[in-house]
Amino acid sequence: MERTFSTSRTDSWWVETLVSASVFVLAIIYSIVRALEGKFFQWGPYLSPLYPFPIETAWISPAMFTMWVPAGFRITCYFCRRVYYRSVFADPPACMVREPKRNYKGESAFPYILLNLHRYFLFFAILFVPIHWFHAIKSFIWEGSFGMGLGSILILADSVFLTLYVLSCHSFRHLSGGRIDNYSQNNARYKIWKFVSSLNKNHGFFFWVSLISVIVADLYIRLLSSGTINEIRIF
Amino acid sequence: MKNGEVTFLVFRGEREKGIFKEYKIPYQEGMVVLDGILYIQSKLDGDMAVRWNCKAAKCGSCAAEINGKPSLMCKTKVKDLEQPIKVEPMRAYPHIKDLVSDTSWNMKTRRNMIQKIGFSPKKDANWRMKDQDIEKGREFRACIECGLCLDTCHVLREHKLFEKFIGPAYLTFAAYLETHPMDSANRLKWLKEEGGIMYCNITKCCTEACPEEIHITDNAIIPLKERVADEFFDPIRMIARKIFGGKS
Repeated sequence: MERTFSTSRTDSWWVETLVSASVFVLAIIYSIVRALEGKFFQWGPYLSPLYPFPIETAWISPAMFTMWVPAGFRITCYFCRRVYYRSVFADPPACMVREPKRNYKGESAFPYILLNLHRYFLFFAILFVPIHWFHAIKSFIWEGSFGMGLGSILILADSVFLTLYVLSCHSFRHLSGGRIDNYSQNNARYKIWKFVSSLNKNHGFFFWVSLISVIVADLYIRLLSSGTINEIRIF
Repeated sequence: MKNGEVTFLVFRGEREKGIFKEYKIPYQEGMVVLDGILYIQSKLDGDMAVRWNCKAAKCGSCAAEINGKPSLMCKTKVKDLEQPIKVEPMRAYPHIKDLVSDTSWNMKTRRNMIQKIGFSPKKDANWRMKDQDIEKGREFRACIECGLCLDTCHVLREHKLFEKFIGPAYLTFAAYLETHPMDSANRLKWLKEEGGIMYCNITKCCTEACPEEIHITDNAIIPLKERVADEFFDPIRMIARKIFGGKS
């Protein structure tokens, strides 16, 4: 009987698994801690992307009202599933590498069957995109006039990457025209589907950069807001 | 290449009793793994079992595991590999001898699919199709059924669910049928219940293995999963179908 993680592969297959697991788990821990913290999410014209609705409440962090949307969208995302099945559940740890013995049911049984609800999280994620853009534009308005700081760039980058991540989603691709077989009779849908398909090729890349950009933007605003660092004002 | 020699470690014998045997053979410019294996067979070990045919990466017969990765022997260049080059049969399948596995399950699965969910043309179908109508199918038709995606798929390789899951190659075939503009059949129930599409957990090993570079996961499996979700896992659509009837 071959042991778990045994393989004939001669390359460093574990590097991708280890790096993905580390970034993914750290991002989850950071997001939960920040969502529970409930403060240091606003500074000047900047608002943390983890707090798109800064409603003041004494009993619960405002991030908790909205956190379920990005969390649900990412957890059910087809690319994200690949990441955690491989890196966190070792199911499999990498291609052609032995995995721990288990009663495998894939996504045919509870709880993984619920991942099919990705399309609903997509609808909410689409609603969040203009809100992120609203805050990105606001971050360039300093006391009524146009200005730019490092935070403006980070919030703008987060909005761009989030938009690309949502638009390249597999469910959005399906919605845009994936269920059509007769494109010659649906030219407009064909063009939209082609555009979404071209973005979809880089969905994995957009997943990672949008995950990292939201954390970087939030961290920067947290450090500004708590007085740990000073703003780098460009003009 | 040490002294113009290449070292091969080739699996010889039958699964439980088999061992890796070392061979040193002369290197030639442009050599692929299959060249080395055929050299061993013709000059050193005439009884070595190996399956091959076209030597042009189009028949899929020489599929094997090279340094632990699913590859076609005729397409894998020796100079790109770490030495010794370890060559073994596709391990997801029952083993026959040396580098030959029993891949008859592939043919059985395909035959079963043709019988149960085969192509069913629309009445009065217009067979003069436009380019955009066959765009999806063109990619799926490139499949040479080498079995490498099936070999690397952990649902088959690790969990041995051959009876419940048709595997990436045949999901690609199903995607070809399902997206065909002239087809009228609905295979979604079959794919969910007999094809076992929900067993796939989209780890994309099949896409990485495909020598024809078909984006199996993104272009075949996920779009099929989305169609299955439309039909069986989307409560709003299901309610809409109940109220308005037909497809929603």
